Amino acid sequence: MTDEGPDDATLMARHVAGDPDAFGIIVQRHRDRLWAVAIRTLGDREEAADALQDALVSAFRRAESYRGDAAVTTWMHRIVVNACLDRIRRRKARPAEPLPEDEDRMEELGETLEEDPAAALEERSAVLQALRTLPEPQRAAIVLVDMEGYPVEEAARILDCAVGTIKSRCARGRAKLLPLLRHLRTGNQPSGSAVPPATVTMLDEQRRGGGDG
Amino acid sequence: MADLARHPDVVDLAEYAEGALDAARQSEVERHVRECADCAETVADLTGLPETLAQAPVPPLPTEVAERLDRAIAAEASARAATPAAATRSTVVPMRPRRRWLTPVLAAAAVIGVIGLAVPVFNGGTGSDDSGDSAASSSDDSARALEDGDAGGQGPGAPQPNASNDERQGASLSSDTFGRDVADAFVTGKSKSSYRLYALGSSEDVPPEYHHAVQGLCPSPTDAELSSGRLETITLDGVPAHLLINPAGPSTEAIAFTCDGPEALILATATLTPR
Repeated sequence: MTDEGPDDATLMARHVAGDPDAFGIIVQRHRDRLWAVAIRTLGDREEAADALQDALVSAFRRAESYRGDAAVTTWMHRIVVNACLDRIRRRKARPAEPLPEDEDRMEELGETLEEDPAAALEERSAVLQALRTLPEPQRAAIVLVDMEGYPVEEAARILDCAVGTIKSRCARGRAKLLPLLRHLRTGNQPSGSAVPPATVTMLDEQRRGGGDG
Repeated sequence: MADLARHPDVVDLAEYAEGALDAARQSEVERHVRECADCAETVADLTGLPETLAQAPVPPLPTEVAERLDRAIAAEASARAATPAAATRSTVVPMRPRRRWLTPVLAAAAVIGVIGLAVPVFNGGTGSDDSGDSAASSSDDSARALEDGDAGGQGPGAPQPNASNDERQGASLSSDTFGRDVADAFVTGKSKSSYRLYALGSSEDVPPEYHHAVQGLCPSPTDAELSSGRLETITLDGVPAHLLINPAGPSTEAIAFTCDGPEALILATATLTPR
């Protein structure tokens, strides 16, 4: 983390003017956070790495499109989030059987995971698994607001939509995640409220059906 | 007294907790939650969920990924430094198209005949930089909609005569006469054409079915298994390209795109119809 030196906007201007090092400094400052967004959105290290690289290369090349009306970090987050969402959409649209290059990638991934079993476990963690069940607009909103702690206003700027939309996406995403993650909840747990997830789901279904037993 | 028999559903409760309901509904749900222990508990759980999510550990940026990112950025920097008109050039380097697909229209794309032009990976650092520039400048600024009208030759500019001269490099197409070139070189009996050119990096207004049609073809279109149509190797404004042709149906759709890594960047589309 480089806290000294010129601010991001200055570095961005230098980058556009041809400074070969300026962009790298910006990346060094923010890459951990951008990585967290990517891994949480995609739930897969290899995909997150690819998305982050694509996004940073893209940001490098289109720095002129940065107008300074948002923070550099907001702008970069937007590019990273969009790169992640593009990947999710592509993955969905692809045929089910993996292409040969995907098999290679799976092998690479397997090797990577073997080197780092803790990270492998992490990727399969309940939270990341649960996140993958969300539609991507909700997932992106939850990642930014709930996981990364961005104010809804900032998330709205990153995702280029209204504040109300972010709130609604977060709310709907939480409603979907709750039955999947309620059991994880630690701390400030009201006594006697350890309702198993299955029960929660049943309750919810009863409520939706309007029949309160 | 709130109506305890009619519980708000969990989405309502979540939106209530977020303050995302309209004022009337907000106070309605609030009255209910005040009276209903079950719903109050769900609200508490929903409110606590962000904390649970935020605490979920995230794998740190792996060293090898950090190094990879550094290398990629260094490569970009030296590629830019190697290009004389660095600042100018970077405005026309193909960017990843920011896609906004409206609805999944894969089925529609499969029905539509598709022609695709795929320029192989752009950022290889070879001569493709220059040719990419020329392709970009020919489709500069905003997307242009062009109408060839009759392809009999009355239109401005003659069709490229060398359309299919070189088997190995493929037909040479020009973005100035894209629709007619495609018709002349590949599609017999379909002579009326219209086409659009898109500014590199701003394929926002490309119809979503075109994106879907070329999806999965990059980074190596020649290796991709086609669900329909055929693939040709061509050049567009001198840039090596691939041409995916599906002449099925009353009209033939055409898509020109470059590959930016796994992403297809659409350059032009054409619709060819029988006279």
